[in-house]
Amino acid sequence: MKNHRKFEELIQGYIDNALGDKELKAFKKHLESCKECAKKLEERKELLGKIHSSKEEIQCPDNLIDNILKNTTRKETPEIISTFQIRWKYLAVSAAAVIIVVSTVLLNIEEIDRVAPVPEPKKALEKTISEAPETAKSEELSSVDKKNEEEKKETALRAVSKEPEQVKFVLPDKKTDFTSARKDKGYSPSESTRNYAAREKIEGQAPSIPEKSESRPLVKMDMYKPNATRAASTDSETEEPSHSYIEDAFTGIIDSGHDFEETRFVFPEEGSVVGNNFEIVLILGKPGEEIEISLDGEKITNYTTEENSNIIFIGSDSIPPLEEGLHFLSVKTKEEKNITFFKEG
Amino acid sequence: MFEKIVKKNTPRIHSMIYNMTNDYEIAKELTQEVFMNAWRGFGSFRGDSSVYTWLYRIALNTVFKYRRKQARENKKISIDDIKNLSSENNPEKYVVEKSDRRLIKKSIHQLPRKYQEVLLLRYYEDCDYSTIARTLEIPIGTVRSRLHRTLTKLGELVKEQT
Repeated sequence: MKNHRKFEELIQGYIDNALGDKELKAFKKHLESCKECAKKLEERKELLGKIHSSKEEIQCPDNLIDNILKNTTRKETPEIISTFQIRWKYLAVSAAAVIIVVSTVLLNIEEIDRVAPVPEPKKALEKTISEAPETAKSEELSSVDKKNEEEKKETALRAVSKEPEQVKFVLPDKKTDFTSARKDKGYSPSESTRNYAAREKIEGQAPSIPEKSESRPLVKMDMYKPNATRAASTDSETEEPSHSYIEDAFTGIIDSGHDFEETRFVFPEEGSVVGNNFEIVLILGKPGEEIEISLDGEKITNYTTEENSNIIFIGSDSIPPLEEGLHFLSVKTKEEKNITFFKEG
Repeated sequence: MFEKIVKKNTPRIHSMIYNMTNDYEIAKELTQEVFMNAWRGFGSFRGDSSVYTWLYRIALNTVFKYRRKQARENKKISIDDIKNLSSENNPEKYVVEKSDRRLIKKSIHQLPRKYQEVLLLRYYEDCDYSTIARTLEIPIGTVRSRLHRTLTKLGELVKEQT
């Protein structure tokens, strides 16, 4: 009886025919002498009978297979798999692209300021140049003089083709509405720029890519890779503060259930996120923490982790529909310390 | 290829989901979601696991994700809801009112997810230990011990209910 508990654990294996030879022999021997185990075996068999009978056999709906096929293989316009994976992988490239976009916006606005003055000097110069041969003709210049004139003309043309030195570049005011400025110029604003403009409006700052700093560490939000360890995606650049912090952040079509010790993440496609059917998972440095989450400068929700959990799921139902472009998700802890990272939609 | 997978596995997956949700319409909806997710990931399905295993995994995740969403929206199906399952969403021919069945299902729903998964795969889907191990990505030894704990817990719950 001293190993009674061990034998009790073998009951299920015995029923399922999953015991090794030695175990089976030992269990059978034990069963002969242990009434308690014999009773438990019977109870277990009875329970299994009930479980089997609780399973309902139902008829598959007639149109279900057709509906599935219509939405998958027979779909006229195949659903485009989001390029999240690529975009996340090339986060750095995206950031660079933002710099270019922002720079373009800045230049466009500069262009607005110089639209008026530019044609004037150009016209004046053109006038001078067009008049020059006439003057030369009337004065019957020598061939050498003509050559000199040609050189002067070329120099003048080159000067026109370059940015005129006299044009003053005016940097936009920090509170300039970039979107409307672009609209005035006939540009349709891209989502990324619009979001930056929105952010700029809210924060009253010129758009810039958040940089790593002590107060705003840049948390790399990476795709969770099923076979990768979590430590690998943990932002190594983030300093370890004493308060709550984001240990990890990733996104995907996921489900963790309620048992965090066995959290598993399964993607329909490894490393990809499709449409808006995704979640963002934040793993905080400590449990029981309340955080405020903002998207593109607008608060979307407050979350509080459970006392024994440090994981926060932001479901796609909590996230407004995202359009193509760069998005800005901000997570504020109780200590009002922002943690910023990029999310591309 | 995918069409064949759909035709072959839809009834099985639908039945599995129905037994997990007890709602005919929701089972239909979630089954579609499972195959749409599978379709999106089909390109990267390397065949490391069997199609069944792959679909089970997606189905389990889809159902538990649905349950979590319900819980978040405070619309979690309560034990009473399960107990009082009406035939509203369940055509009469599919509903066989048996107190034992209700009791068992009610108790299964009270189990932690990891226990439900192993139990459903073993006794509803009739998967062998190695299939369960592959589906849940756990060692075979864990399957056996977990099944033991699951059934011990379930037995206690059933006793409490009765």
